[in-house]
Amino acid sequence: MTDVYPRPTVIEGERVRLVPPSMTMAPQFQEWVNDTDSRHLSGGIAYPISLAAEEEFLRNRMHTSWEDGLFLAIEAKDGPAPRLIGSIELRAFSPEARRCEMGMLIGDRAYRGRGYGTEAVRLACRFAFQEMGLERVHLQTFDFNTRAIRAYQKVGFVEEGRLRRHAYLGGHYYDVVAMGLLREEFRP
Amino acid sequence: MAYEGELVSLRAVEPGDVDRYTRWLNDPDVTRTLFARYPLGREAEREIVERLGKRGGYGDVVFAVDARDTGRHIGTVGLHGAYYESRWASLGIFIGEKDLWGHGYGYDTLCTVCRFGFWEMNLLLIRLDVLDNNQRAHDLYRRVGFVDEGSKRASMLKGGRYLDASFMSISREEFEALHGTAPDLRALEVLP
Repeated sequence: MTDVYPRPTVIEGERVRLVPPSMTMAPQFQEWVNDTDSRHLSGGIAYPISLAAEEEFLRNRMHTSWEDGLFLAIEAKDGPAPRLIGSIELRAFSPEARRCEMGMLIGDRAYRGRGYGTEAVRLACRFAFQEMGLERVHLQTFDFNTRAIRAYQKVGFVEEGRLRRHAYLGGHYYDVVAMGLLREEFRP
Repeated sequence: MAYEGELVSLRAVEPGDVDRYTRWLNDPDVTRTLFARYPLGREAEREIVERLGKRGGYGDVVFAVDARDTGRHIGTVGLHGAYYESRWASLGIFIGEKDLWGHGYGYDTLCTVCRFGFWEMNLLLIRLDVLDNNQRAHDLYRRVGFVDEGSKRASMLKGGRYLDASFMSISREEFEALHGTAPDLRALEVLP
């Protein structure tokens, strides 16, 4: 495949690529973080976030490493130009237990439910297992987010537990579903 | 990209809002009924806005209010000093653009921020104080469903007179009885 995006640390698949965030992405990320639906899907209370606060958030995630974690922009690469559609994060790495935590959001509604998130999860997990030598990736999502749960299942994640009424958002309590993926269960 | 009502959307305060806040908070027609007293310089307001941009969260939530039809920034609303244990916060609001007074923006802002308080922060009660020279706001709060709790005598010195303040509150049950309950995301056929 021709590399039309010659940047060094790119994690690339068929339809998406994962790239470190740049400050120019801050307004787009701010829009998503302040979108109430997106915030609810990705686990937050909809407190307002100013552009300065979002820039600070990104500035703290500019560097990707074992210690810093990996906060990566998800870009769709099947259009005429790369398009920022969401973010995926690997964090809280344990060198002893060989595990990390994952979080993901497809912020652009037009790209939800079409497999972009699944591919991003697959790429991030491949990186975690093959490049970082982890044994396990785990995450939490909400019981109502069946679309995310299905995406994680496709990559091999299984439900490991349920934190009953763990979250409150949008006027209701919801269960948090804990999912995990072991190295040998990964479906690349 | 905000917490939306019918007429207004609530968003984070940004540096570009400073001039409007400075204008509003130096307008006697606006401040006549507010718990604000001293003149406010542009630089002082800029510092306040900068600080607001960094904070946020349970104890202090401040929104800029935009009219949805025009995108125009028209005022501000906040929930302040929420108690972790007692689960109530104090509401503050003003619509700074005088030409838009009486158009329903205040009512919708109040409903929207109450939804935020009850449905995002999980508060049990939202309180506010209203000066007794502000009959119009008092009536508006009653229409939203706020209940009179009592009065604090000589709360605020304004123009040589000590004004009483009424205090009011609304509970989550009272709010939902009047304005409806939140949709359960588990019942959605299609996720957003």
